[in-house]
Amino acid sequence: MSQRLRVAMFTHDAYGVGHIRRATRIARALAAHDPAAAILLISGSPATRLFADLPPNADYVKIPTIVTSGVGDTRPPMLPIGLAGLAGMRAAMVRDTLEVFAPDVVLIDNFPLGTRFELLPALLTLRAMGTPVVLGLRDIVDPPERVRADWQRDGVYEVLDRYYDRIVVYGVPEILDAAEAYGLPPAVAAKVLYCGFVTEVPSAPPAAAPDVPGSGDLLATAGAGRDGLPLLDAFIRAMAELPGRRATVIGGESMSVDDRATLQAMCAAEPRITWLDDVPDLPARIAVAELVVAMAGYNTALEIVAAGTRAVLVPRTWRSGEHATRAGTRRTDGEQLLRAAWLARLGLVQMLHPAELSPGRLAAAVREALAAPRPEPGGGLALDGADRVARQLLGLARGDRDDAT
Amino acid sequence: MKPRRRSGPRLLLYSHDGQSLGHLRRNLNIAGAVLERRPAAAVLLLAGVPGVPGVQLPAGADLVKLPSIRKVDTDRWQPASLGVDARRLNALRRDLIAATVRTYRPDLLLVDYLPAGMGGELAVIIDELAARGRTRLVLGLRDILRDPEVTLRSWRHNAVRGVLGKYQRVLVYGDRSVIDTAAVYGLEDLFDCPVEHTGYVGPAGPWPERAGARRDVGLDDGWTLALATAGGGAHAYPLLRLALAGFAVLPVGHRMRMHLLAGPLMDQVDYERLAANLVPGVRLERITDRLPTLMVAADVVLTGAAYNTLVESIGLGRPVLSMPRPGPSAEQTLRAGLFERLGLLRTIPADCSPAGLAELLLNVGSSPTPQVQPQLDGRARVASTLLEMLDDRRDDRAAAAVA
Repeated sequence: MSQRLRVAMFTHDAYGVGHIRRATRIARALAAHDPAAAILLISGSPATRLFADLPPNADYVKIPTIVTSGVGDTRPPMLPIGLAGLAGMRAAMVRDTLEVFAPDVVLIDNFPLGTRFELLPALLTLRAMGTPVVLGLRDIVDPPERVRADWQRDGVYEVLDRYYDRIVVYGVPEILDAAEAYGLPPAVAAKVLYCGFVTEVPSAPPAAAPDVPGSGDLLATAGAGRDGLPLLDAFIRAMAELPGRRATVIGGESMSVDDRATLQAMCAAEPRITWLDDVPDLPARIAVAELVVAMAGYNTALEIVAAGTRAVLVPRTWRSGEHATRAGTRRTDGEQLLRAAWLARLGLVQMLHPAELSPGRLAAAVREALAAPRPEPGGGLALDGADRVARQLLGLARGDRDDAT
Repeated sequence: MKPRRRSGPRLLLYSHDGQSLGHLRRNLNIAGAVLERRPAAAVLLLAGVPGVPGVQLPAGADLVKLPSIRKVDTDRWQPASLGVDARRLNALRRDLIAATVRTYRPDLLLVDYLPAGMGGELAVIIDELAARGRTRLVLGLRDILRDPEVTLRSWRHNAVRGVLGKYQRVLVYGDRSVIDTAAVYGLEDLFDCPVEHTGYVGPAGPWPERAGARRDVGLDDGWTLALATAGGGAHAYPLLRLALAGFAVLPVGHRMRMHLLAGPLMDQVDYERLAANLVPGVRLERITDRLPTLMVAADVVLTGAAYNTLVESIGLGRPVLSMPRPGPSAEQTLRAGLFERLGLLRTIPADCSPAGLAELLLNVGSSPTPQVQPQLDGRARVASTLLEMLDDRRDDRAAAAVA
């Protein structure tokens, strides 16, 4: 027997937990297609709690965390040995893990070279081993001009040409055409495959789920909550202009202690608002809410669309983790703005530009969204990305095996 | 003035974590103590924790998690979840450990419990470190290992024997007045280095204040709380089932509440069976982030006889009803017996009926007074010893530079 497939996935540590949830969704889709496959996830993310969603036959390796931006107590613990030291450790650990695990296929998430070129030794080893390597890109990696500048500077185009066999995009070309937006040379563009969005389609009809608390209320969430203060603050104030409405406000697991205390105190003063530090079942709560107020991170936005819940999205336009120092001073058009604008054009959400964020504007946007009919669940978008990515990976893994025999 | 290093010392703390969180928790306690005393230090925990721990890491520390293993029986292991054979898993862990050590270049390696690591996975790297001679090698042992005979047999195994001589210090996380671990296991003959009893290693504290803790868990005046918990929970079901059954037959008019903490590793079927049989006054949780509050608020702790929970309960002066886990080694039975003889806990008989447990719960107040107050400041002692060893080495280097 011993012919069980082995799949390795590398997931970066960047802020938020979205990438880990995408990775575990893809892992579950892999296991659904091939329950015997051994799946090893490698990540430096401190959000190890989320690995509980891995399927049987899967496990994870956590390498030292390396996160270079962020403020105050929202920064995860890092070993104080310098970035170069950390990247060196990670490079060796990832390479050696892949060498021994000897996967049939490898999926690398969003950053082709990892942090500080840490993946280069692994990519060389995988090439020598003849292992197919797949890059998974979020629908929108970052604003295109920034991606082009970063990739030019770091030699990523050559890396994609030499070391990557396929590029799967967790999105659709209508939201962003990766080849055009990132300026991919033809040989690299030919490797791109759009798989649709990697999200969770709620299994139960969202309308009747009275056992999920918050059913029929407004729900305000800022994902993991690291930079949720401006939005949640505005929402809590906006509730004064939304008489007769009840709301749940979720802080998120990565919210700083200070932000949490501020918001919690505001909620305590308004009996119509329930404050929750964090919830384990956000997609279910999104599905039963009357309307969701959120930023436009990939997972939250797509969970809203999948459930067909009304929403007002206020995309984040500052860099993750920096609201305390940078908000309002160094804004660039971000990935979230592109996503929210596209979903708004399709009529699936209302968008409020963050430059216009105020309690009054937010309340008006909420009223407007509530007056419109509930969107169709799924909104006609391709939401089976996890399944399609899994099939791509398994196809490559098996193809490699066939060649070898 | 002493010459100052640009950065603090680097420590690497290994725990194999075959089936519980206990080893990692002890290493986390030690990591916290080291960083309190030496904030510039870097502490990397190298662990194979099964499941998904929500560990709180102090600033200056981080965790590397190896692919997890599960103990099948004494000296036999298999992958906890990853779908590969045991040999590949062992190779994966061994190479990952080697890559970590070679790139991190620790000044000190503290190994918990297994001198050569799980399945001998540390043997090669310990040889390498010993030959290079710039890393202090320390073995940390809890008060009671497996039965002395089994322990010694596994240590005489070829792969392990060579490693024993490489250690420069053995720290016993226990108190000689409770058990003379060094003597019982003949450690001084086995190891070619000093063996030191450090006292029991508990958490940092500070513990919450009792009145506030009682308020937080919703206890009214005159009511008492029984807390039942057994670490990760992999073996907690029999204890929690009995606790629940005993509570259910307390006489009418009792003024007690019970909190059952199942733990992240309890089997889901067992967990659901407990959930289906709850009675008023009992709360069941799988995981909690307020264990300290619950322990402080509790008037009695029902637990196994695993190291950490016992040390915490006794440190808080809580009466303990202990149901030691019978296997796979005699560790818990031995510890419960020792502690009971010293008046530190009461053992729940193996065939205890629900009525018998109810009786024990009602008579908690009449527990005997302890004959010995064991040393519980091991956390601080271990940290000081490790830092002293590191500072010695710095002096060595400074001396070498002068010469």
